[in-house]
Amino acid sequence: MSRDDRYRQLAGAYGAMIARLARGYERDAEKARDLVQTIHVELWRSLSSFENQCSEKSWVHRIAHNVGVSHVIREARANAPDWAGIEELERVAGDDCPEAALNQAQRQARLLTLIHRLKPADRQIVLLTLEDLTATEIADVIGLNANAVAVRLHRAKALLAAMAGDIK
Amino acid sequence: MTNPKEDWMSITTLDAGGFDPAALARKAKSFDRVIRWRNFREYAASGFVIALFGYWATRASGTAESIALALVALGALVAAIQIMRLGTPTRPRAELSADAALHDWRGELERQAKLLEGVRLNYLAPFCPGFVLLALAPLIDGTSSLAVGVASAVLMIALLGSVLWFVDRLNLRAAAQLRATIEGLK
Repeated sequence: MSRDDRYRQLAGAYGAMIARLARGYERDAEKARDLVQTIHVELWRSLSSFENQCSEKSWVHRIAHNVGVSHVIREARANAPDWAGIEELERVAGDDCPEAALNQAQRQARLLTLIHRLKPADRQIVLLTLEDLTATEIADVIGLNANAVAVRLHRAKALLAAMAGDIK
Repeated sequence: MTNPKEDWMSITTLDAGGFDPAALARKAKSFDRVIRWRNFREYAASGFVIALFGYWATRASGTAESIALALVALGALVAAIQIMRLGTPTRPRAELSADAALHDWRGELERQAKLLEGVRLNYLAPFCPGFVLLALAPLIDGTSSLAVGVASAVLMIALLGSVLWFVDRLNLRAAAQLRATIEGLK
């Protein structure tokens, strides 16, 4: 299969994930659209060095996240970042208006606002959790061992649970 | 209770279809061109200063002036070497694991912050001997009266000192912003 055909196949399978992820890494809709394009460029470019060293899914996620994080860091250099860790946001998430009282668009907006405040390393974990990757898949994308991922994953799930109003 | 995963998955994605590979190839080429062009500009600016001051050094009327102009050209050469050695940007490889890429980014930002913090020593200091001697050259070569020579030397050194101080402050401020970004990545 040629690189272009391979790219088309991957873009078809993971295009929606890439577009969602771009929204998670960039709050401005126009810039998010540019970021989507940049991720696709890197995906197309990196296909020449893909030799099944990991699963196709992990590969695409790695590229998308790395481009996303690079983008966030470049933007942070221009505008002072207002990042917070998962624990801090977990407290904020529970304090807000009850999740059930909001409609889906409002919940999505609130979710994105929280995601945009996360530090890049925490943001990766939360986005991968939202994309429903397993702990093993997340470890593969992040490049950490399963134990280190389990700790981060636990914090990410607690944040999402706090958002859903699930904290007892 | 609502499920944030469901909310996340139902976010509208208008750009989900992917792109034409030919368009992506053009864009990839254009990215590479931007990086090459930026590096070229850095070296061309240094080359221009070296050529100009080197040429003036051969045409100078006095020995001190000639040495001063040659020292400025030499300062530009040292600064260009420092840019090449310390400032050439590295681009994290997209296919690295996410944690390694983040680590790479931190390393790159650390490098750039150190570079900005060291501007005084690496880029400004090499020019100082040449410019100071250039300010004193009319006095040493005896091409101006003592009063005029001293006055213009003081003025030139004060002006040079102010410019260097200002450039240094700007770079230190940029370095502080980078340090804040690096903190956020920990």
